[in-house]
Amino acid sequence: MNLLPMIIRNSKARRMRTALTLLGIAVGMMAIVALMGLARGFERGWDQTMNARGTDAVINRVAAGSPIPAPFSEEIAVSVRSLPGIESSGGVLSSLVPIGNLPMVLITSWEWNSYIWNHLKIVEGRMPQRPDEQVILLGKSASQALGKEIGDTLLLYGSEFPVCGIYESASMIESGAVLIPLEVMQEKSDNVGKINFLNLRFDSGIESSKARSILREIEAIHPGLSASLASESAQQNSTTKAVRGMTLAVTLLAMVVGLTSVMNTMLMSVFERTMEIGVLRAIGWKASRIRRMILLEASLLGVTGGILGVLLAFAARELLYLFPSIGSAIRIEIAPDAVVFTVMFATIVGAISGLYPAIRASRMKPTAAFRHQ
Amino acid sequence: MEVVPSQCLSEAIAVTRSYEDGRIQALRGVDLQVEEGDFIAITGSSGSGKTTLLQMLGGLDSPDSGEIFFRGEALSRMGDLSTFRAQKVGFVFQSFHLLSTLTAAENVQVPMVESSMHKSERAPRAAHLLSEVGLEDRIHSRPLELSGGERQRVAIARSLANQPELLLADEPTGNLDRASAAMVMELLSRIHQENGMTLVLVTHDPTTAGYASRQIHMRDGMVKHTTPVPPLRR
Repeated sequence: MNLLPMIIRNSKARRMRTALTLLGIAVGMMAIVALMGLARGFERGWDQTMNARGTDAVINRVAAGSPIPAPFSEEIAVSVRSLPGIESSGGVLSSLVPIGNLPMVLITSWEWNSYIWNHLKIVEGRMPQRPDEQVILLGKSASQALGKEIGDTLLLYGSEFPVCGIYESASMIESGAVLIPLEVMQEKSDNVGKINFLNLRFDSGIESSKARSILREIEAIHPGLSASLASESAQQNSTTKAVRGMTLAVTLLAMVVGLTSVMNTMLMSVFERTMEIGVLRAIGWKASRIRRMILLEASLLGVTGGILGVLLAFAARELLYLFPSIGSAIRIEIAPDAVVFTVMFATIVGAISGLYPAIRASRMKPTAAFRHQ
Repeated sequence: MEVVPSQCLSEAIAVTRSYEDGRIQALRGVDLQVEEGDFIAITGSSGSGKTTLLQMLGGLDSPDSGEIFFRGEALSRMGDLSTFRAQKVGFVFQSFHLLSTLTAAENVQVPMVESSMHKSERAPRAAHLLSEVGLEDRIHSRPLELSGGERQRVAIARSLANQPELLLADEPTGNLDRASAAMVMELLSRIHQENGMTLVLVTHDPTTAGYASRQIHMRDGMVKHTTPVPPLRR
């Protein structure tokens, strides 16, 4: 007779309470996994975007909590381009706006004739022909999510824009975006002469230390701007930071919910099993074995809740992807380390929750337990 | 004055125990000697202190004053009494107290986890003990699938799991019908006679007490008289 089968049968004997406790833990763990996946998905999407463009570094305003940083003068591009080691640059002005049923669509515009345009692959229609042509390009995912094709129009910033082309991009973010010539977006969004990202390409073969020193120099010349390598910029991005902050908050919340629900369940269980624990003590079980039994049961609730939470996160992700409006806008990348972290976290939360009930149970005197009857 | 134990198996010397801040005097200076091989029935009305005395002998409770000895060693000096209870004493309770989620065989194995018995020996020993109490065909049954008499026989098998030296039974027939009670008492008698098991049971039923070789009658927390039972009656 081992502890584990005893514990499993005890939990099974109280099915409804066990199920509700597991559900409570699982929902919290699902939220943690999903948010971690969201942050990772965003980082991956950002990296894809930078790679697809061939961008080595990004300049933007020091993040101020908004997913899209505040605009700054495009004149800065001129002085940055003149620095030794910089091969080329491309200004970007982006915004997130609701369109139709979609709560958040990325509208982006690129400096005319900059290298950024080179990676786009038009699969239908054509590219804009002039920097001030009032047309839009749709990424393939955006086209599907918005239900727009060549020749359709889209209401943006109070004007109807004809769709002149559909493009493909290796970047999921770009694939879900609406692309406008920079001049047009600057004018329509009251940001004439402004950009909120400056993409940079270094001279080929530049050493990493040299690249970093150029970026520090840019920050020194232009206080208030942040310059970072493309590979690191995702982590600096305020969206990533916001999602990470949310993840931390949800983790803490899940911990509190997990702690209270498992502790409540275990206290109830100890109370209901007063006689059983008394008998076990009477027939010679040591207090330490009783403690182990309760702790193991609480940990088992934690680990099972954690695993269920991970499975729920996978299921929820697939469910969300069924909605084009969500599937085109976000990516949830559930990495193995997030799964391991969540299951371990749930197990530890379970074990901690079981401490007090375990101590209480182990201190129970057999005669007191018999009187309880 | 230092109490000096005799050479008997278990002994209570001047044991007192009260509850509820002394308002209830459960035991008032009880002396009792349990010799090896004894079969003792402690009788008395409800509240006479017989169950409290049994719990003291089994190390389930501690006296306010006086001392309990087992083979001359004071229980108060043993520290953690769970080892004593696991290795030296077997308990049978009125309400059986089997774990409802476990099978009969598993219930019998529960005390074995605190013994030095190897895991591989536990299941065969449980099966052997259940067969000894006539339940070889109910090994995999859960308590709810068993009759009261069968449950008590599982509890008796459990009490023998670690080959105790002293078997303590608290109203073992209290929840049983007459036929089941007789069967259980025959079983306990057989264990006593065949294995030389020392047995102390608490009962208020004269028929059950009649199986013992010695009856100790308690009243108001004190031993009133001891009656050797004539051999014919046993």
